[in-house]
Amino acid sequence: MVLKKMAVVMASAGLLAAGLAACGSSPTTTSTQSSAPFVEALSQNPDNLTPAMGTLAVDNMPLELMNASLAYLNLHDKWTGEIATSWSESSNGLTYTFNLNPKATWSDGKPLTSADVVYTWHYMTNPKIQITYNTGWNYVKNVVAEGPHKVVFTLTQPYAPFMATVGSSYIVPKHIFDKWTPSQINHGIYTKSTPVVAGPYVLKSWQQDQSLTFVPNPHWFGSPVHIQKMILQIVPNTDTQFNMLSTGKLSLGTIPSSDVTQASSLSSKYTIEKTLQATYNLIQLDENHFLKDVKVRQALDYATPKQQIVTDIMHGLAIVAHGDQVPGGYFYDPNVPHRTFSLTKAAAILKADGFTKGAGGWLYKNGQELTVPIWTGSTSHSEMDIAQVVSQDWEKIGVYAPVHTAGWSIVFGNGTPQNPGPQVNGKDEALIFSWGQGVFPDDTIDFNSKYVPKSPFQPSPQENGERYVNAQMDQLQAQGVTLSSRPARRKVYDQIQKLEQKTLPVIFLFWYKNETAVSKNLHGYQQTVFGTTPVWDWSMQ
Amino acid sequence: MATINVPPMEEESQLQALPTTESSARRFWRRFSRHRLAIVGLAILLFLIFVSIFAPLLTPYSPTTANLTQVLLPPSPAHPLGTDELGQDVLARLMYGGRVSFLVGFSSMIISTTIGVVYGALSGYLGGVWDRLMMRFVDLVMSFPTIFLLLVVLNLTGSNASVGLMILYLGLFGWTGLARIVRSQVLSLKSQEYVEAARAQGSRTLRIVFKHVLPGAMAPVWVSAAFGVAGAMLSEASLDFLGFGLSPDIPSWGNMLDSAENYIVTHPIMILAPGLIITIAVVSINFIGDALRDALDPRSTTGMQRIG
Amino acid sequence: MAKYIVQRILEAIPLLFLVTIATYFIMNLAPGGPLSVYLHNPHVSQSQIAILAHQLGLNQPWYVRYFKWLWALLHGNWGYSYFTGQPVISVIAQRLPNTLILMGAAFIVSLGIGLPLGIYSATHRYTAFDYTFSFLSFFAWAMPSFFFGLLLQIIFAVKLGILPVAGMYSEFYAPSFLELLRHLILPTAVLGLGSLAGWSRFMRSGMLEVIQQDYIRTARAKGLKERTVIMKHALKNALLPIVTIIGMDLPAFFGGAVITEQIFAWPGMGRLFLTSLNNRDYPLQMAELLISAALLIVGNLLADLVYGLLDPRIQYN
Repeated sequence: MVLKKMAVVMASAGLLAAGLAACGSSPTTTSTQSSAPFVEALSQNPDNLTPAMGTLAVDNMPLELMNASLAYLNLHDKWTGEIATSWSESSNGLTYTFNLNPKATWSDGKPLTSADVVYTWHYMTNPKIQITYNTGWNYVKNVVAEGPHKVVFTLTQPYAPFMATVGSSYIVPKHIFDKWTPSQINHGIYTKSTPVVAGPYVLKSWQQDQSLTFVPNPHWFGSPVHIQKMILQIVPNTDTQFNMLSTGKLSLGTIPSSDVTQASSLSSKYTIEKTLQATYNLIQLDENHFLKDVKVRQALDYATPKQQIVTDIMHGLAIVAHGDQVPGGYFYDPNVPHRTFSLTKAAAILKADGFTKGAGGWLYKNGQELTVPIWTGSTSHSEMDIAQVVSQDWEKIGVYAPVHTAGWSIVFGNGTPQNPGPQVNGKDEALIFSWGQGVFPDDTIDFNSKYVPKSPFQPSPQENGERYVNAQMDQLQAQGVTLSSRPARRKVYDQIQKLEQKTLPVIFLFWYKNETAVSKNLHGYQQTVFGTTPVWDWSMQ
Repeated sequence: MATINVPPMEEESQLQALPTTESSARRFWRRFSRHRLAIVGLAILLFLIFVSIFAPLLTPYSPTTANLTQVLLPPSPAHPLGTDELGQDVLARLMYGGRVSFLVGFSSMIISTTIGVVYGALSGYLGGVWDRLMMRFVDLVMSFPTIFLLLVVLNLTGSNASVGLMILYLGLFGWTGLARIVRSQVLSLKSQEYVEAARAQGSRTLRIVFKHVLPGAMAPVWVSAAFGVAGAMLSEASLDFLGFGLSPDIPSWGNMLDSAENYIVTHPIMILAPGLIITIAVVSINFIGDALRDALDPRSTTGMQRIG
Repeated sequence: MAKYIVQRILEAIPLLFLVTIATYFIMNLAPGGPLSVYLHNPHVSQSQIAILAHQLGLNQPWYVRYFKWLWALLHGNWGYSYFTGQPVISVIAQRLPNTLILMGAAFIVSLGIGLPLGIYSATHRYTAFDYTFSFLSFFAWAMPSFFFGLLLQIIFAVKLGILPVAGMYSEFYAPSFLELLRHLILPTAVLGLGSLAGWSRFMRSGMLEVIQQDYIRTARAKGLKERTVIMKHALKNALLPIVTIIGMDLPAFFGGAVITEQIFAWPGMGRLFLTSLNNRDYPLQMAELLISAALLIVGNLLADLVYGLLDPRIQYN
């Protein structure tokens, strides 16, 4: 899961174009098929296009183009059928029954049936296959086909985010994967030939580190697409990406916050859309020594100039965050109190807590210096700027806070027993990165005591790198995923947010707003915090 | 290396030793100062070093204090080169940045030159199996692109290298070329009479190398040292740009260039200032290196080694 | 001559062998050793890691592991990328040609423009051209390549819009040689500038030295045409030191490729190396170190052979 965290980090660092959560409901009536290709830049070569096996945010767009799931969340936060035509949930929340579209077909012409859905369950839960993301599938007890077009999922316990996890997983073709051993699948055999898919587009070519080209899937059973060629070009340098926008080469592109000052130069060729992203930026405080003390954490929260970071470093492309629920969303609690920037308050808290100024002007308690090194990724200019500003304010109140940058895999990695990574070295550390758990509102993997790394080198999901342990939180989170009534869940998440504010070793900095340049030639494209219009609504002129 | 029979050059021995007597010093200066560009280069270099050493007296601003109320200001009397994305004075960062760049350049040159001279001299003097083994090792190190080795080692460290570590790494990977040169110098010198005489008197090996052989072989060392400073400064900037360099809160010219990348259209001065300064500094050092080569070691092909 | 070539090739083989040992050694210094990356993957259990360790022979002494690794290497089994699971050899095979195209272009341009410039400058000493050339070449040599690259991109691709910003082929047209050439111009200029400036300076000084020698004066005195003197007599001798310089400069092409490929989104080995560093993808790093070292050894071998061809004084025994 650490890699997944990285992926999100990169997404929000503005390195990659808006991830497409496929969406939308109203098929357009346009019939003219335009011939201009759609071009978008990806910041990295996708690492793996076998469903559920990739670790990078850049995998999202190509996967969206090629794949289909039982259902998807549309632009208006509503679940809409894709492979399934209808579904029902049992009153006890333990069974989900899906009716599949009888016209559903794989890109090689073979029918897509309930057998494929059952196979997908085996695939997602096969320990020999290196699946990197199968959240929710652990609650699935079994999947049974009732005839070719009907599938029944039975769960081990009621699980509220079922649709957001299992229901929106991509279905994989049984007749193709059956031929391969897990080892062949792990080594990327699926993408070596033309992958057999169920989505609107098929992969025509993949020039490594250069571009991916997609053409319409002739057997696509959904609304017909208008764009005859989709090109994803891989451009590692954000500045180069921006330059490509300037020359009008891209149909769609995210503007990095550091380039916002020059975004107006694009206005002749692009419309600029600002959208709130379901991604936040945070400082994770690893509870090891002084950071176990809630007073110290609160003092650091007071000493962090969030509003200034939003205005001057993010150039307004963000809003200050007070918790981990999307502002304005259903589960967001606007009444959670928050700490406004005040160095005097911060200093007073630390003084009352027994810290006194000592050698070097730093704070000491029991003869030990209060040191909180700040870590962030070396590829993200804005996060490096944030780290420097935060360090400066923390040092003003006497907290020694040197800035370290490194590749994300080093920042989140274990390192060696001699030279362990910052998350596992047993010292006080602060990590600045962006994160979106993907499945809102459930934040179990982030703050549940089950997800505290047990030993530095234990290979297990260990998203709770801050080592936060709170029985009340564990209990609330368990309630949050099992309750089926939405208002009841909301009450639970209100409590969770209040508890977070009081005790969580996390300083929430801000929610990202994306500034997306949409080419004036691209029509039918819209985005909200939930995603974009589906690709079959898009056309190029 | 192929065996090359180069006819002995009589005039060379006069030029090789660094000036020790009044007359050879004057000859060196005559040959050196013929290069007017080298004099200009020397003047510019001294000026840049002076400014970076006395930066605290020359600018009221701190190079590392962010001031978010003064972000991205255009040039003005208060900020002659404007401010950067954190509201830091660009001119102040440029001045302090010189400290880092020159410190890295000169210190890593001292390390690489010391290793290169000692290693090359020992290899050449010991000869035989030792020489062959030591030169094989040089071949081995030179078989890898320097930047790959640097990046691998920097990546093993886990986070940004400190200035000291950066100096050490650049020094450790920059000595091989010089070792080869010194070795061949020593090889050609050790058969000369005065060395033979010292050996006949029973002097110890090391003593002979350092007292009798090395001084005669120093000419290319000075030349290579000059170019070594320039090469190390460029390498450090490139590593900063690639994200494998110094911590971003250290004001180095490379870090300035890296963070200015996104402002190239709207605030071109942020990238032009450090880019031009580092070019000017490196050019000045190369002018000097060129003149040194002409004055001390005209036949050599020593030049600045770029890693990128 | 044939004997000399064989001898040089035979010398290169033990060096390649040493390179494999060094690479293996460096990569086993890596934090956590070869298995550390698996520790990040939640789906790889402790027992699977034990199995992997056994498969990789990590419980055996290092020399046994080394020879096993070398044996696999020689049989084309370069392992799998930790990050993507793809066979390393195919990942490399997809990028290597692109890098060779870029390096080749930069090499040809540096030679094709640098050497004639140097010769012209030397034979027109103390002219305005010579002064301008000297001055500019110093600047070109000293300019950080990423700075130069960013400037070129802004000027020629963004402001003037006459060249592509990045990439190897245009996304709008079918890949063609002409398209490739258009995309090559800026990266080649950036990658080649340093060596062009350096080599032309050495060509100039080498030429100056040669044309002051007695045999050139004699040739002139015999009434040979200046052009003949320069091209036939002087050039061959002046080229000798250049060949040495070129051999020494080859590693810089790799460094340049890392930077140039990053700025111009060129799908080559340099970018792959940065990615593999950031992902701690050790099998890929190892393969890249090996391939680059092999290329450098071959490059130096070629330089030595050219030297041998040019230098009549060389002894072939």
